[in-house]
Amino acid sequence: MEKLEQDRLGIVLIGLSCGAVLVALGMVFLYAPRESTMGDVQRIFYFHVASAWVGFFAFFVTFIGGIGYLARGTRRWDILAVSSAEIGLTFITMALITGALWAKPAWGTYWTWEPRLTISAVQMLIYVAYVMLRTAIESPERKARFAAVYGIAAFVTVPLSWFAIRWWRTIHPDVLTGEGMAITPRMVHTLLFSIAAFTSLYVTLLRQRMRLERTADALLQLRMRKGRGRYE
Amino acid sequence: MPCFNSACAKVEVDMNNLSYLVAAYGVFWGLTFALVISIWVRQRRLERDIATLAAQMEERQKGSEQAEP
Repeated sequence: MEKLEQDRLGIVLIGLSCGAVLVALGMVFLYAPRESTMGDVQRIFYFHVASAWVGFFAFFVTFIGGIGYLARGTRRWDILAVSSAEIGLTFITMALITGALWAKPAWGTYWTWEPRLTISAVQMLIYVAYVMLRTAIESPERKARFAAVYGIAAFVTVPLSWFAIRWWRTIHPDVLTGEGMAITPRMVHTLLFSIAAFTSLYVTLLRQRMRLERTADALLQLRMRKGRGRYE
Repeated sequence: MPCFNSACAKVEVDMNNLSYLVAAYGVFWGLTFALVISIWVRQRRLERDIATLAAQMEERQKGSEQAEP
């Protein structure tokens, strides 16, 4: 009965997040006005910012998961950390690629080594290394402990990336101040809704990814029981 | 029909920019589906392995019970 309820919740979450992303997509193309300088290509901005937000938030959850594991030593914190890191890595990659596709018509180049872009690229590589570190260590306890410390240290890239456009001279637009582009109220509504839709998608994906990790644990336990030759 | 005025040039620039817009949203959907399918495939594989292992262990259990007098 409990499992059935959990599945129902999962289906509701999937439906809600898919619906929210589709509404956000509709708002991007039908509700938000055309930006006067960049034209339609500016519409990349809504999903680009939302995916960067989810990436940052996911790495924050990995940071919390790392602290939780070191404090409590329970597997559930490690599951939270690894699941969130994988989703965060996907969304940061998405933000980097969509950013490059926006930069080409806006700046005339796909890539430039300015502070925000450089830190984002380094951040992506750091979290690729996080995933590789986990696959390289055999012992589950050592893997979780190393990954927790690494996940906490790697989080420094998030505030660094966030403040890069304020601390250093950069050509990257500032979403909060609207510097670098003309933002109207309809654009703000669309951006905020896109961020909310992406956050709901993140929660849905995180739940499914954590379920995957728990299933892997169940299989490992079953293998150990089979190895010991007892089965109740 | 060929057109050489500035309005046509503007339309051409916008059409070129549209390809970046389509590519960006394609990247979003592509990566999202890749993540969803990757989670789904791994989940199914693990559940199949659990079912196979449980069945093997059940068979072994039955075998050992029958062997006992």
